[in-house]
Amino acid sequence: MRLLARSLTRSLRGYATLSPHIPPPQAAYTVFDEPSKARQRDRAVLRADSTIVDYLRHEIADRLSERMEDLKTPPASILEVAAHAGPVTRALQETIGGDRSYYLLEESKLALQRDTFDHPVTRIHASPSKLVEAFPHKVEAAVSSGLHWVGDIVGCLTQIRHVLKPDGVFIGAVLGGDSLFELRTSLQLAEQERRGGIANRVSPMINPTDAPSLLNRAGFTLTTVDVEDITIHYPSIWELMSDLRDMGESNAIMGRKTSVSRDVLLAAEAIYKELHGVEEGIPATFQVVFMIGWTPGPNQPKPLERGSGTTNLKDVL
Amino acid sequence: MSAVATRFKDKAPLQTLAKASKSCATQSLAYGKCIGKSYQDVSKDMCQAEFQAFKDCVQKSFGRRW
Repeated sequence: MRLLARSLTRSLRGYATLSPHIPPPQAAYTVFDEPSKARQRDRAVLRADSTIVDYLRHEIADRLSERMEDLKTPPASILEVAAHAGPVTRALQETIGGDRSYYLLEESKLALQRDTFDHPVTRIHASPSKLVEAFPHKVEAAVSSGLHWVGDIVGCLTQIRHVLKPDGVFIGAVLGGDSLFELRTSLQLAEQERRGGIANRVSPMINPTDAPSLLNRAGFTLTTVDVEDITIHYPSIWELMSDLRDMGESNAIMGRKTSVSRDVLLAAEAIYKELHGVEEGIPATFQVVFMIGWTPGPNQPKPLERGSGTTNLKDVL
Repeated sequence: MSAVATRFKDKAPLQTLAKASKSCATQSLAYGKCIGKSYQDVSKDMCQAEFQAFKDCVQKSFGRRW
């Protein structure tokens, strides 16, 4: 009798409907889980020697400081946003010297306090998405090497523009969409073959072609974007993943699958070697997108009015 | 029975897995080749046989089954 009743209820299927009592979404969609990211960075710093895995940040910091050297007058005050331990500040102190104010802003307290610098820095423990509240000053330059963990990138860039003085410069680096594509595809294939579906294992990163429009939407002028690929070889996927974890770059997507099975990891190792392996091991590509933007200032060159040209192109060509 | 906090002897299980996997290079290559043949359309358990051979070797080296 009960079996009959159960089969009857199963054939009368209910349909889910949106309850009229659910309020519409108030805040923007959060892509990343920022408290988790701060915790991951804290744990990474607590592990034995997190300075060993700083090679990628140092490389990016060196390239950022090269761009800073191109400026005619070095800025008098520099803020590093999403600083981690402050590699860009260290590189800048070597290249443009210490008689300037340096500020570091980072959400992970342990990473912020980790390093000592040759010249004094002011450390601010805050999240990049709450920049304006935490940083009431105005600086002449802002730099960043880690904005790929900020969910609302346009919002963050707008806040950076607010803390910059007029004719101030923002020189930042973000990891772009092609970064770690080998790892992403290997994990997807492994999960597809082993489990029959895929999970979001590598974070969504910005498309380099979208970077100029992001800067323009934030209100920057004279924007310049260029992309550099840094390829690092590792012996196998295990070293790559443990280095990523020790850098504090573990997965922090909101709603992520928090565990990965050993089967999937083993399968991913074999697939990575097969599809991308070279004799030195396996390559991992980091696509770094360098963005430069200026806040509007009084003496900046602006495009001329339409119809004010004096030279006919036909005479030149 | 009171709850006793278990102390795991293996503090770095990922490293143990890595070592175990490295000692099974032939099976790993065989599985990789099987996937590499048709990576454009991968379906569930496409290379089950090769993976099982790889997993058995790893489990033996790792010291436990899962």
